[in-house]
Amino acid sequence: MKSVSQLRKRTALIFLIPVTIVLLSSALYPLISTLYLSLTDAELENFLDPNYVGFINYLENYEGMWYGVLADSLFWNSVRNTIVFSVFSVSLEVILGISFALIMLIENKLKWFVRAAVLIPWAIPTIVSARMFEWMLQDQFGIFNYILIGIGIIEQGKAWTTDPQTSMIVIIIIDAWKTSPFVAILVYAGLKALPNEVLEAGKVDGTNGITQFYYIIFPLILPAIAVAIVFRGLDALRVFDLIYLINAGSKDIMSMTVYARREMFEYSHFGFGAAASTMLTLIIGVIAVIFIQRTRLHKLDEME
Amino acid sequence: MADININTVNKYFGDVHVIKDVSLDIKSQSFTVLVGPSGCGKSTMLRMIAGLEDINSGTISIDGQVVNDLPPKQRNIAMVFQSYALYPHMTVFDNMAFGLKLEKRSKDEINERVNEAARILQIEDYLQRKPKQLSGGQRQRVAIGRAITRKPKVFLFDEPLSNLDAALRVQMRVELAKLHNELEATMIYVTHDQTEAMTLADDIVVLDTGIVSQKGSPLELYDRPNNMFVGGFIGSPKMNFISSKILSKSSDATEVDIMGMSKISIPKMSASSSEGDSVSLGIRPEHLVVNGDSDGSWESKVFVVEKLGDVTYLYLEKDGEPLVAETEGHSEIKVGDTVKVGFPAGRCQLFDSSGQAFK
Repeated sequence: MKSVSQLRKRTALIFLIPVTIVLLSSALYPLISTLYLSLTDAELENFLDPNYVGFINYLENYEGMWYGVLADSLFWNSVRNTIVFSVFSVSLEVILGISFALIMLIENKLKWFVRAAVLIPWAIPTIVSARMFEWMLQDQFGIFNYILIGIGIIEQGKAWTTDPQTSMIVIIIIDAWKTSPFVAILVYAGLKALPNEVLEAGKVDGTNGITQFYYIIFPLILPAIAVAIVFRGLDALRVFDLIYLINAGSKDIMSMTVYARREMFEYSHFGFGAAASTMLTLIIGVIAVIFIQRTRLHKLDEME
Repeated sequence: MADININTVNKYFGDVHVIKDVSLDIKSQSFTVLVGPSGCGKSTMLRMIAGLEDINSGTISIDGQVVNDLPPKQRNIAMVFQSYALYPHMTVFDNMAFGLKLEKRSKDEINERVNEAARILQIEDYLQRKPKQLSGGQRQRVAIGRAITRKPKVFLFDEPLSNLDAALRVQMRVELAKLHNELEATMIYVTHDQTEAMTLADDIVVLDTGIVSQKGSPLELYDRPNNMFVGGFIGSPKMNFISSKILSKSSDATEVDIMGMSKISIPKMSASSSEGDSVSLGIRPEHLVVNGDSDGSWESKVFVVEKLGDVTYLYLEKDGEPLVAETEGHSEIKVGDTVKVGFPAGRCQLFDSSGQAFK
């Protein structure tokens, strides 16, 4: 006879097997094989039988010169771009997301329309939104330039997506337009879960709209906002599709992922690209750990 | 001083008419309890006084000033909610200080008032804790403390004890009564628990489906209910109602029969009644005389015996009419015994077919 708790443990283990297999094959295996690839000289010719070369893909001193991912100024440029993109797009998304969520809360006959309108950008595939904005911002026929010329702000059309001064801003705005709804949904759920009596107690204590938001609502939806920031932050650090679609070759907006892809699949430097990918994973990992520690997100249950 | 005058107030939720022409005068520094079953409108009434619900018609004034269109903070009230409604992200101190902080009081004054309230409520040791680290009773004290610090003219309580366990409820009830004496403030208290109403109130207002069924002191309501609803609502176990018929009327009494077994002449009158009318005779379990002689009597088998130690309740039945009688704690009466119950005429109430009491 087995005890009930032993039986329960066995059942739990059986249920865990499928997900373990999926995780091992889809996450751990690629991770390890990338790590291994980054320590080899793999290129297209010797992809199946590469030589182990140690850490030279990361950093190597050859005849007084530094080589490797860590010595490549374009890599560090892509790191900088990625971080700038993440910080600004996530900040903008949080501000817009909270605003949209508050608008979605308003109870009137238009509420279903408002909710649908807020969510639509999230439902549009990235390729569609990227092409849409590209056309709107196009220098000769784009509506954006047409309007700016019409009201006399600029004299002739500007290529917003390819201009080094504006391309990063454009990308941040498109991303914010596209993913603010995600933040809005999370915050909306947080707002909906607010205890009504607490808000009423605030009214009796004398809050007005602004003090109510500042002292009561905002602190109480902070956990939801932190969750949104983690999700959006990790997503933004891995940004690829939008930047690749708008301008894959521009070093002004090149992200870490675009850099790694270019090394691997355009230049066939598989070992070098794998080293860049590994660095990308490390950087995201470190940022995520710091953020989660700082926001005490892992202690949410105790925080409340 | 803060009298509260409620004048023909009406409230609708959509098509539902929840408060119907209610008028009430609540005296300054009195403890008034609004009591009634769920859905009678008592909480809505309180929320309208607080300013959390709009009023559709009529006026509410506090201290002579009509407050219909004033937001809660300008009404000089404080409210204690059923769920405590503490700010979960603030410490106990900050919870109690929040209203004062919004009023931009000085730090010294805030400290002084919060510490004073904490002393009264004996929560000085938890001032730096978060609500989550407190027990239900402690949270309720903080909620009351939050109300006290603002020194309002009127305290509103919305079923404040209903989330506490029975022992704590009794303890907090006593403390609330003490608090009322200490603070000398007007208190309005909503509950569905008639024991809380009886023990705390100077005045009880019984609400029934949006109308005031009766207002009066606890003993007035207990001794002279205006109608069957109040008679049945106040007192535990409930007042017994026995259907009966008027046999005859005299100048100061009405004679009725008790289930065909005996006649009783009750010193209550109703001008609109006449011989042969169906009436309900109401008598409380504690007023029935078990196995003793009285003005009228009746015999029945005992179906259930409830021994509570201090008293024993006997559940009797005749022709489908249930009857509960109270007798001494160490009664020898067993299930199946036949007992004789006596009806003292002075303790009997009569209600006409529409439920109105004979006076």
